[in-house]
Amino acid sequence: MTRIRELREALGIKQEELALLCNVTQSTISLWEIGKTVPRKKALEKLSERFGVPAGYILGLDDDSNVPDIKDIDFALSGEIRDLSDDEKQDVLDYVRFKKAQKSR
Amino acid sequence: MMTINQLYERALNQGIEIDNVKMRELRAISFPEGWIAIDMRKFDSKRELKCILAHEIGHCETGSFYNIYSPFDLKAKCEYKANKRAVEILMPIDEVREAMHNGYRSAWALAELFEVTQTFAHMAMTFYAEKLHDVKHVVKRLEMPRLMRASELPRPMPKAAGHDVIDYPDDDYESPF
Repeated sequence: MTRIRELREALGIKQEELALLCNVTQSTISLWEIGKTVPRKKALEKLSERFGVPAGYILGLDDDSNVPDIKDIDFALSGEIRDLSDDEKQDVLDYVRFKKAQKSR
Repeated sequence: MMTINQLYERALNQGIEIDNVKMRELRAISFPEGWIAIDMRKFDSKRELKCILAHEIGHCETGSFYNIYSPFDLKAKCEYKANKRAVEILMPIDEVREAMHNGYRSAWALAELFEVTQTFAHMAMTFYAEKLHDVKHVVKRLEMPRLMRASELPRPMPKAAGHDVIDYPDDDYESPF
């Protein structure tokens, strides 16, 4: 499964915009997102540039071994002192994964 | 008065990266790497966004972070440091003192002047209460009002014939100007 949808939604981009960028139809983007097909090299390069992460990360080839476990991540919330919910932990992991991929470009 | 753009500039100059990202539940979070993730869809006003952004920058500047297993008092200490730095960024004490001397003597008036939320202005006053000796009599009045006893509640005004009367108790009101 590619990470196109995850990255697109994180950046608030519509499928139409990606379709225009990669010169494909919107349904092709949908197929990429559900993993039915994968983008070709040229489209992948454009996506990589737009998302700011390596192509391998977009294709889901980079494993998460370089992303530490939630218990090893230091962070700070916006003024609240409480435990994180499961969704919030996922928010933390998604963002750290995104930043690490961005830095490893 | 510091603007949101100036906050971004301040962060940029220190190598702090701010990303506007769509998150499931979190509104804002910061990391020791100098990363701040903020979901701008979750803010109702620019002032709220500005205060939270200053708070997150405060975390990065003071290096106040914790993890999921950190004890409550460490988390509280980190939040305190970030709040204090945020206040110093958005409402520097000299500017607050000058404003108070110039008649901005309520939390809402200060909040208007510095374009922050009233909660943030109250917090600033709490931090500065000890330092603002020369305007201490004013600071005293900025404390959050306690709940009134039933006997202290204002008596309802008689209704004017055919009109609803909206009563704004003005006993404690003091014009900032």
